[in-house]
Amino acid sequence: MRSIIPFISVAILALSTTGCQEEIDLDLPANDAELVVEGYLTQRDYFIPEGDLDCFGQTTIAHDFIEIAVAAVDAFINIDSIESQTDYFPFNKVRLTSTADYFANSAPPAVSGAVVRLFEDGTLVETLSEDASEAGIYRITHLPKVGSSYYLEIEALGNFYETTPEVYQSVPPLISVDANYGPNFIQDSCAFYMGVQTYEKPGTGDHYRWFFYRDNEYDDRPGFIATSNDDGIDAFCLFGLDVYGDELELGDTLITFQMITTEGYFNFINSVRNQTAFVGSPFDAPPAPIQGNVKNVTKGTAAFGYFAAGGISANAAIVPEVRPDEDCLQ
Amino acid sequence: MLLSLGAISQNKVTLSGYVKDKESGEGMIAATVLIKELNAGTVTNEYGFYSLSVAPGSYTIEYSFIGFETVSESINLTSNITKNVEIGFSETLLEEVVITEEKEDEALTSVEMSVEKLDIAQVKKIPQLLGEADIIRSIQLLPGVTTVGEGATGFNVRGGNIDQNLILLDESPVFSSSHLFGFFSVFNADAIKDAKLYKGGVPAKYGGRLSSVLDIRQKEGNLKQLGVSGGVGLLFSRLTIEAPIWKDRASFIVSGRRSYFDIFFPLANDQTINDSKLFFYDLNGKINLIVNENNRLYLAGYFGDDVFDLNGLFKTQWGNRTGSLRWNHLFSEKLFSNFTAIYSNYNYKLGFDQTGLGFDWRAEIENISGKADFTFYANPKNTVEFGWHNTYYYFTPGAAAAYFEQNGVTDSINFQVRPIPAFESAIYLSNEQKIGTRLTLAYGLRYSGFAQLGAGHVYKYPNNEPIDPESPTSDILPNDTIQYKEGEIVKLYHGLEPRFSVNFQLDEYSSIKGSYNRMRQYIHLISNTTAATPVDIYMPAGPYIKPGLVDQVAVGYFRNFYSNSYEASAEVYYKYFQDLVDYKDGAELLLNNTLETELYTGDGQAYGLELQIKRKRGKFTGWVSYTLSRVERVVAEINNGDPYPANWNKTHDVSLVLTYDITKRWNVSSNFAYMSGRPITYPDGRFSYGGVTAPIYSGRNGGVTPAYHRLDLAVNYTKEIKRKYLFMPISLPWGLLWKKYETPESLNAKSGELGVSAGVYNLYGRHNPYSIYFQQDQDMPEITKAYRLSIYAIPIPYVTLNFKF
Repeated sequence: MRSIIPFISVAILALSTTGCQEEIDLDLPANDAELVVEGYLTQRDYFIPEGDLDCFGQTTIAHDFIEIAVAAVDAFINIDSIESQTDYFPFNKVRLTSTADYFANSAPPAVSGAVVRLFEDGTLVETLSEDASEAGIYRITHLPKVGSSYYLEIEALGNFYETTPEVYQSVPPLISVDANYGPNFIQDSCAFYMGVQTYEKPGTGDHYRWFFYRDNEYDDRPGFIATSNDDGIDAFCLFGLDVYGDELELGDTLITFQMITTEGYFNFINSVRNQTAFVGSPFDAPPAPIQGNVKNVTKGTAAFGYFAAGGISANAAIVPEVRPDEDCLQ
Repeated sequence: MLLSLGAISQNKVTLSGYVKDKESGEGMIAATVLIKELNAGTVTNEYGFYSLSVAPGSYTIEYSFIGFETVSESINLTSNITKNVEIGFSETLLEEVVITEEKEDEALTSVEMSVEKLDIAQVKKIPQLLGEADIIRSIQLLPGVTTVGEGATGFNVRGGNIDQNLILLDESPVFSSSHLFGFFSVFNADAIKDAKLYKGGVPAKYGGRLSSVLDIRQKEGNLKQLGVSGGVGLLFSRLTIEAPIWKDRASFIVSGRRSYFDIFFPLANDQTINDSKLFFYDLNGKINLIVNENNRLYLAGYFGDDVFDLNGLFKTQWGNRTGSLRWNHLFSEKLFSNFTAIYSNYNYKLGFDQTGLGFDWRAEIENISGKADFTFYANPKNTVEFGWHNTYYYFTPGAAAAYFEQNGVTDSINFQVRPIPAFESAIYLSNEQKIGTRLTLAYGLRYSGFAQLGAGHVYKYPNNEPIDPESPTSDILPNDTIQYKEGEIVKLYHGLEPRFSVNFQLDEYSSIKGSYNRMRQYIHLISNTTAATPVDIYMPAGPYIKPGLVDQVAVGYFRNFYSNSYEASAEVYYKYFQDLVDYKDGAELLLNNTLETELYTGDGQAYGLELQIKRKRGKFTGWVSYTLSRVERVVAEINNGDPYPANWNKTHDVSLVLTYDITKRWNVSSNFAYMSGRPITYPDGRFSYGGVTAPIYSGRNGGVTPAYHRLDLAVNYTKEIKRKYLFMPISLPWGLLWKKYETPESLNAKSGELGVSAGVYNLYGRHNPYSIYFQQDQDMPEITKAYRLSIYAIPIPYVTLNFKF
């Protein structure tokens, strides 16, 4: 029996290695350039309960503690300062680009010289100015109001575009973002992982997205687009929830932004993730159009991208420089 | 109709009985019973029973079964006679004939068309992945049967989705026919006696699915002597034991199979792998009891599971459980009946389980059925079938529990989609009528109904529409709910399902056939993955999901050559589907209480030409088949309402299956399969958002993957062995005693077989595309690439040792 074990082991290995993925050449149709809108209207508008926060009846978080924690975080993390240090930062900007052939293999063409107007509850509140140093970036200076709806009108590429109104909502604060030492079961090792402490707004129908900056670098890997809605966790307190999923390096700083979004944006960004990160396996969803909220009014067709509005909160975790002297697997 | 047929049959006498296999005592399906003087006859039914009513007289009756010796009996029929006959395997024919459970010219003379009878002996010779004889993968080599790709669950028949196949194992429905995400089927060939696939012209006694019926019968167990068979493969082993409990009266069979990918995991150095599980198993069992000449009982069961647990990081499990208790009762020589109680359960789970955190999701479909089927052998010209069938379903479309530990206290969050009870009922009546010597008709009517039941609530939507026709992609929220009491009818559907087939025999060697059938399907598989998975959910028809309906017509020409050694057939078919379910792009199907807001309803059509030439005798046996087909769907909200091909559309499909018997012991076999690529959606361009480069898709399934082709080869060696001793059962009042005898020289019969099968799957290592997908470069998102995924990209050798005693 012992003599056939290597034989059978080889057979198991053979079965698991019979598949392959390889790059291929394909002729695909040329693309007619169309506008792509990427915009976020946001600021730190927090939802803080009037009294102490009741967590499952087992513990409470004092109202004053939340206020103090939020104030400390606001002082510590300055969105503008992060923006100045990073190559890419999406908030309070509208980036206009155009579509391209699938194998264009170059940076997306910026759409410069467009007229971009921001509307609040149907009233024009700002005509955005294009960034002098970066073509296709239009900055938003208007401060949104909780409960108001916002949309854009855009004149670009010889067409008139409009986005679907987004209702701006306040967001629960990230009370803390921690670096927790725990097991990596796949690699049978220990590592630091992030965990957020926050709570969910009472009332169903809330949607969230998290953005991550590792050492001030925006993590734009499609597989790390993190979202959730409040199905089954309405008004829950969330302690130590790892919404990032990746292992943190010693000494890393992980800044996490939590944005409340509409269901439309939630569906859109999930489609972006699913159609880019989760592809290829037989059990993935088949290719499907990614539905945004931009419409080419001139042609009566859908354009691409999404203009989103929602409150944002932030916090940071600093990973220790030294690994703890403990075996997390025990 | 029954009265008139009864009148016709007056002044006749009836010869009836069972035709059995001499070696095992099992009833033989489709054995021929021929009255020489009248040149009229019949074939045995699924239980080996036959009945013939003729005028009194002296006749010569021939009992035959291809590959078996013909038994001829002179009978003076002056009154009703019961005649049970055992026919034995023909040693003299062995070298020339492949054993098929089919009358020699059955394909020509039977009114059935679009039917494929699987020859289990041939299935065992066909080269298969890892040498595991596989009924489902063999079916995929037949004309009109396709699959989305290697590794895809189930099979597609004449343009139907995989949930449109009614798979019956001893009359119990099996909801998932695959192990390991489609790599292997759940049917252990050692336990299977007979398998028959209806692609069209479906008899009225079957219903509930749109596209096909795969009727699989398990062996009954040897009534004569102990039999042990099995096989040892690289990754699976199987063992079957069958024996009489009461000689010639009662027997059992138990057959088990298990994969052992995981028993070597503890040898790994990685703790995660050490503690992981990966296996599947099947356990088939059956007991049959001949109570007396008029009553027989069969108790059959099947249990099977797939288990994958990566040390709690990810775990999934799915499995079927089926059980059936059948009672064959002869009310008279002419009226055969079968009463069946059936239980079937298909459950599937996903989840993870880590310290302080876990998640479990499960879904289930459970049903309990009672059915009664009657066959009235009115006279040699008319055979009437009628019966009814009732099924109670209990669907659990999804229940989830997340649990987490905080401060030493475990909390959980539970969520459940409303479980749905339902009831399906059907009655049917059909007659197979021979008119003259050339024309045979089969006509019938099935009337089926389905009720979705309470208790529970059903959401109401604006304008009673869960999809906004003005903006079908947007999400609609319910604006009200209706509460239903337990057992209250939420929604009722019902309708007629006519069936008709005709065979006109042009001459001794050729016939033309035609058929029409309407089928209704009241349950739907809800899936939005490229290939359906074992964990996709089933949903019943209800207030917003309509039952599917199909009308199919088929016409065929059948011709046999060289004394029925060759069978050739050409069939064309057209199917029109109504109320098929499709999904929104990006639909969320799991744990969705408002699933109807994610689904569209549409129609479809499928049409094709199937050609096949089969050689049944000689050293070379096998078949070559070609299918030219198209299947497309039309859904108003998809593709701007333009037709689009279904995922499993394969324009050209060629199969060549050959077996060559070199000697009595040695044979070689090969398969060659060629299929056009399957439809796929290619991007029209790309856009960038948040640093991610995303493809732009417009029309659905506008492209096609490269063609698929594959060659498999196998060499099989079988050696007969003679046993020195025989063990024979002796029935004693307190039980069964096995006694050892020395094998008499006079017997000189084979007492066992040892065999080795060796082969290669995908001999030339073709990189067949399962899918083509598009992704950005990991480091440079502006670089986008196309990739091809192949499931089996190298030749896969195998060796299997088989034995039978």
